[in-house]
Amino acid sequence: MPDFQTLFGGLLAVIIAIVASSMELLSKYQARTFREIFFSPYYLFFALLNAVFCAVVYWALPYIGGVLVRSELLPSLENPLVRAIVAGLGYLVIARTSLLDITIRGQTVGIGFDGIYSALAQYLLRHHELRLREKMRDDFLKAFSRYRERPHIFLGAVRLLLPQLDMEDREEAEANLARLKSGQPSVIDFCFGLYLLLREYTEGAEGAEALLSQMEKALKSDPSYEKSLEGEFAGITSSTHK
Amino acid sequence: MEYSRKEVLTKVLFSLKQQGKQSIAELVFSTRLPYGVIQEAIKTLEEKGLVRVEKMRANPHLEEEPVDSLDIIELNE
Repeated sequence: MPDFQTLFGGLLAVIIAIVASSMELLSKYQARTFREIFFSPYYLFFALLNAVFCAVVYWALPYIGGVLVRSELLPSLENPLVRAIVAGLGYLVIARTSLLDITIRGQTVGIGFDGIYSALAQYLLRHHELRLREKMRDDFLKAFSRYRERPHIFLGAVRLLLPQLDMEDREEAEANLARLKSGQPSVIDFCFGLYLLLREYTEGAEGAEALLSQMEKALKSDPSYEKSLEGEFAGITSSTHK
Repeated sequence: MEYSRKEVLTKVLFSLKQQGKQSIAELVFSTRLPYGVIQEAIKTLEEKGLVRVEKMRANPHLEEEPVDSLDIIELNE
């Protein structure tokens, strides 16, 4: 039966592993809310996958420590804290280890731990991504149903957003806007692109909705601006919308 | 900016393979290519039978809404 210190070290290692693997998702989905990223069954299984691999490495570390740390540091692994840190930060070295690499249709596939870990992680992350996209489309379609008679509000909301961004984000947003405008997009595609831009730089669906309703109110009090925005929108899109 | 046809088709296919089915607007963000260029690429890929287009309606209860459906592009596998 493992002692308390060993169990505590194992728990710490698993926490470090989950936090480290979640960092990747946080940086990838900067524009999504914490809830959207982490309240998903695919994320929970991804965290569980990393926890299991880390726990195995933590348990096996006294036997395979030479793979992760230099030989002179091996005695330090007897300290549960050091063992937890090494396992928590280094388990991917083991998880990514393959005994043999084979190439199938130009892609290198690792046979060994790497094959198992990569296949499972890719499956879970891909489905996580698909789920986030589905949610984004649903959010957009709800917003679009609300403003479908005045789709130029989406363009107005982006115009409202741009001055609030820092220089770097603004340049990136303007480049994306230019790409969306090229080639006479359909009304719904253009609005979806504008909605994606809003979501990129606001906090969740509520943030985008706040800008849209703010623009709706502003247009009510300024009919001449609404007319020019409507004209600009009609000039960009492939069909007039009424 | 000019884009070679092959480069565009490869980028679009790669993005669909990596990130799954997407609308053209999403492809604009994931490939950083202009809307018109992607639209042309999708036509070509559809003709070649490499992708299929699925309509996602804003309001499924209404019969005819030509402007209210998102084209979702999916790889034919």
